[in-house]
Amino acid sequence: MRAKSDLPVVAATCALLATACADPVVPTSSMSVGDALGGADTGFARAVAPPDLRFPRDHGAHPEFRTEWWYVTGNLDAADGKRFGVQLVFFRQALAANVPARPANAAARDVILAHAALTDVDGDRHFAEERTGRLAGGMAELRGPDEGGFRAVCADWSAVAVAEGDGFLPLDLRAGGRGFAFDLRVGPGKPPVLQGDRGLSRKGDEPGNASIYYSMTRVPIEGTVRVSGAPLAVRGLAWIDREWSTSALGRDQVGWDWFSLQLDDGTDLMLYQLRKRDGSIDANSRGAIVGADGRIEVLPPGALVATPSGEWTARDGGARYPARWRLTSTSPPLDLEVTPLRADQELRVLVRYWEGAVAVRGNLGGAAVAGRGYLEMTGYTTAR
Amino acid sequence: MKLLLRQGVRHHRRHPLQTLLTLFGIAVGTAMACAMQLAQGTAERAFDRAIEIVAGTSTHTATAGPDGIELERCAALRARLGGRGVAPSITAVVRVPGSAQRTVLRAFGVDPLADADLRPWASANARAGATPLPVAELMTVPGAFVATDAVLARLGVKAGGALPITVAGRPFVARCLGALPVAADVGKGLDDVLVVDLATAQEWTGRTTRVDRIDLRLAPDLLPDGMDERAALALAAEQLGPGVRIVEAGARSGGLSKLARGFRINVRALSLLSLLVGAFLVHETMRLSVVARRRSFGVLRALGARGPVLGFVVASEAALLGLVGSVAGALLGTMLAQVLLDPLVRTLNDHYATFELHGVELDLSVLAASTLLGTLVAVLAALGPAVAASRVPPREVLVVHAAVSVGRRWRAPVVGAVAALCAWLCLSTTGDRLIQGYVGTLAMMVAAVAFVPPALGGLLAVAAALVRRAGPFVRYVVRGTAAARDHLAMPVAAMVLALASTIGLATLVGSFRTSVAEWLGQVLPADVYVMVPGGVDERPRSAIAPEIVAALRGAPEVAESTTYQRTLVRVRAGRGDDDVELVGMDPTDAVKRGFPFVAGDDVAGRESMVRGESAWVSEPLSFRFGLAVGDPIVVTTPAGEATLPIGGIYRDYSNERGEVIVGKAWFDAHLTGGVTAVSLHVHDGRDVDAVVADLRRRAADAAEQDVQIRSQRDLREGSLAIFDRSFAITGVMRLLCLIVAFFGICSAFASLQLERGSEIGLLRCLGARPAQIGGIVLGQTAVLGACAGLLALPVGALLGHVLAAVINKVSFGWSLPVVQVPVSAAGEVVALAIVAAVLAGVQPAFRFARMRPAEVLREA
Repeated sequence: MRAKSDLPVVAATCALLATACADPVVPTSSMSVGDALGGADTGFARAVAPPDLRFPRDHGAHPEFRTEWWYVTGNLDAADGKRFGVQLVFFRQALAANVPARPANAAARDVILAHAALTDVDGDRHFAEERTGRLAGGMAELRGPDEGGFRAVCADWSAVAVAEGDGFLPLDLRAGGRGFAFDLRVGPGKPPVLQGDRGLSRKGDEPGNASIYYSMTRVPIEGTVRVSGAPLAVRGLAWIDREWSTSALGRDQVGWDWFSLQLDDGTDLMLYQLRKRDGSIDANSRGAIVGADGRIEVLPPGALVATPSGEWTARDGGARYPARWRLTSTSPPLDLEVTPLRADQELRVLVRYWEGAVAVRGNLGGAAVAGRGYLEMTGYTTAR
Repeated sequence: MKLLLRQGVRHHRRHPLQTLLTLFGIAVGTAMACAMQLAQGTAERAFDRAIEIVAGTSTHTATAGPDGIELERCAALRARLGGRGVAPSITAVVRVPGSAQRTVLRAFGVDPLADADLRPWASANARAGATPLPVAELMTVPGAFVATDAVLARLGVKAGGALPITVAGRPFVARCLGALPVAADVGKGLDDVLVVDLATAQEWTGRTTRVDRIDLRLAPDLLPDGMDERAALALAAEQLGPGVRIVEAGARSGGLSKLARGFRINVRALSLLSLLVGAFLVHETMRLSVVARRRSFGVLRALGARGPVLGFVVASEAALLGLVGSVAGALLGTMLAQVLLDPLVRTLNDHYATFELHGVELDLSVLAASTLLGTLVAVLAALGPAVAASRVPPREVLVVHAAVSVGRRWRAPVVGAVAALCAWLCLSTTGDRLIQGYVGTLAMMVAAVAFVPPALGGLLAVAAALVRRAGPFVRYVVRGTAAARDHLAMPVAAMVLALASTIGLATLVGSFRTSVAEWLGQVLPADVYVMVPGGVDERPRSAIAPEIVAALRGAPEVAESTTYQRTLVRVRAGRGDDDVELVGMDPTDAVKRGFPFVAGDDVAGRESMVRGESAWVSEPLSFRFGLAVGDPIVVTTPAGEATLPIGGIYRDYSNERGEVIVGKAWFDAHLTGGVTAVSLHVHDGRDVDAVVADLRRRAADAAEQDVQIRSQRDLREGSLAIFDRSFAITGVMRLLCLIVAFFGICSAFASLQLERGSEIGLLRCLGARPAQIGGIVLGQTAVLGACAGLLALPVGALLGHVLAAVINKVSFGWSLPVVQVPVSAAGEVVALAIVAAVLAGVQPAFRFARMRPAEVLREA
């Protein structure tokens, strides 16, 4: 999540660790990070300066920070033209900064939460499940690239670096649940680009209220997906996000919209827009463009604006999300129409949010472009 | 019809005492049956609830004996079963040394991240209102726990508070995080539970890489695509390895029903007996009612009423009596249940569980069933009188009826002989069929009842001979009673039955206690015993720290010692295949020689066990599995199966599920497990209490573990105290039975006297003074009471023997070498019978004495 947006994981943490939030399923009004985490984030490191990131080492965990995630989303196509969207994310959440050494092998400092989703665009189906496990006793695993290759496992789901790779990529992703499964190999592709100020992604004016954030915006992905039947060979483009932090969003932020778009001309575009309680856009929202050559251009605040239109209401009425988006910018000149490939790509797991595959159409720098991407929308649950 | 019913009502109104006593008899019988059902039901539900809450919505449970299952195996299984519906847990018995209130609790170690599908209350997304489970602290703070508000209140602990506890004798500090946010029904099942994280439970139990059990929900909604329950089971069995047992969730429930079986058998038998006494009372009342109204029945028949209609009216009256009595009984039962609940829970807690019950749960179906049972019994009891009423001939109007149901004296002995034969057949071939044992006992009681009339006749003849030289009144008293013995026989039989049952019970309990005391002497030959204070719901299987074992065995006061290594293994032998307690023993000569064998008692059998060439099995196990000396038993060990022949069968009252003893060498070669108990022989001449005190110091210095070091005397007394507590409930029930018997005697004898109005009137006309009349009435009831009491003695003794030798054996698998009728119980019964009978005579005596002769005659 991108960007500063650690709301889902905060909400999940909140639900899981049960500190003080009134209702984690509504990561909006009553849920603020300060309340949620209380004093429990003491003892953790804070992101205060641009980090000195080294790869592949930093693809591994940073337990000195409280929260961390490995996020993969991708758009896939089968040989027969069938389109799919895929998401697999592993969250690491520390339960406490300092824990005593304990003899029990079930004693854990961190827990792993994982979300997996698959959108069968042409079959008009969407699947999503979650897994949780303590990072102890084999219930979940997390290993860095320098510990024999990256490895994140939670119950039956895994993201495991291929032995002959660089310790992180290529990465084999395996997950599934009721009615769906995927077995995919991702990367390598465009190298990591550092978001924000050389990887330091500020979230507020307070020092340390920031995260370390980098992305691999265009990496090939291929393998098989299974949707209630035989496995189907697929290939496409994935986007990997890595972020870790300790502090969280401000009290007046109610949610965000995050875009990761991959255009046909090789350009990738990232935008997160933080929404405030009063409906305005937080000044800490940011966008960036990664050229076909892999160079990143971080856009100044307010340069790129996303405007919603239409509305999609979840079947149970528990959430209302924008149905479409229009992204506009004057420099560089840009006007993009973002349309979900399926209206319902909502994840109703421990927390509730919308994350799904989208199609993009419009023009960039005067030229017509099209593409695919992923969109995440949080904080749209209706008050209950 | 209406006329008939009105007449019936009038009859009962004119004999209020008799009717009331009848109602009382039915009420008490129903109340006992109902109270027991309610108390039992409440306890069972609490127990099941505790199991259910802990087991959650699982379909299967995997366990692996005392060593548990590696957590990593559980994790691997979870991964292969699709990540859901696999919840590991650990249970440990926790003692709270400082707490005055309740000192034993269960710690339930869960994984809040794995529990969502099975135990929503213990999972990360458990929420009640705005207070979710504090998962982060629970998982990261060693010793952290949450518990229901009720438990916290009982312990007097608040959020943030510390609670010193011991687990298997080792001290720990439990830290309270606050109240567990659960709904009331879940909370009830967690009434003695500290909910902790797996890690804390691992640390408390010392099994730092293992869990006790894995609850599995192998349901289609949680299993991976294409995997069905059978495939999942096969996978689980393969993943967890051969030492792990996977059983269906249903196999667990009903645990209490099995555990408290002995208890229930006792009480159910008693309540049925009291109902039987009630039935006799109804029979008596209705019989008298029919006798009194015979003439009017005759008139009605002459006027055209059909016989069956008259019978139906009598049956309806009985049904009404039964209904009123049993409704009252059901109400009384709800109160009585509260009284029974306490000893019941104490019994269960001594042996099996640690749960707490706060009140009887009213179960309408039980109340309805008890009422129905009471009514039905009343109707059945009135069938005889109803048939008699339907057969009243119209000419009855014209004849004066002298006696009721005379004749066919041959019937009773024939019935008795058939019943006795049936009893003998059933009881001599009972085997392990409890129902057959009951049928045999019932047949024996029927036989006893059938033999009461001739026996009563005999007794009265003897009495008449004895009072030959006494005054005319005394002779009249005895002879008058003898003359009326035919219609006295039934009520006396009822009394005999009630009194005999109390003697039988006293015999069983008394003999059992004597046998246990004797047995304790045999199995506890050493002077000092050491063990870890186990949970009340588990046998002492916690290992004693090796340092303590060494320190105690090496103490200068100790001459020699025996170590015991107790564990749970799967044993296949005879017709059985089950988890069984197995003890590895390294006996001293005294222990070896003194072991109470019931079979295979020879030097070779005793020696071969020590050498590891045979095993001893306890009597309950041999009974349950059908084993004899020489049979092979197959023990599942980590290395596979190992077979041993049975070298001997020993008496054991401590474990009705049975156990196996093997030599220490064999145990160490095949199984793992530390020393769980040590018995020490002290050098001759030492003061055992002083030695115990010294050994306690040595143990405390050796390691930080709270072990129990008790002298043989202390242990023996403690065991007998538990025994007495277990049977306290039987005492309560026996008392109730005596009360029923008392009122039964009062009712029946009072009504018998009232029947004799004409005779008494005649005596008055002949000049008998009121005081003499009173004397006659009281004397006759006293004679009857004494007869009933005397006849109850042999019947009770016989019943006691059957209960001890047959029912007890079938229920628990253990035999009692000593069966004796307690003199006190016998005396009690005879005295009670006489006192009740005399009291029964008081009211009729007064009434007749005060009446004018003409009145008495008219009344008759």
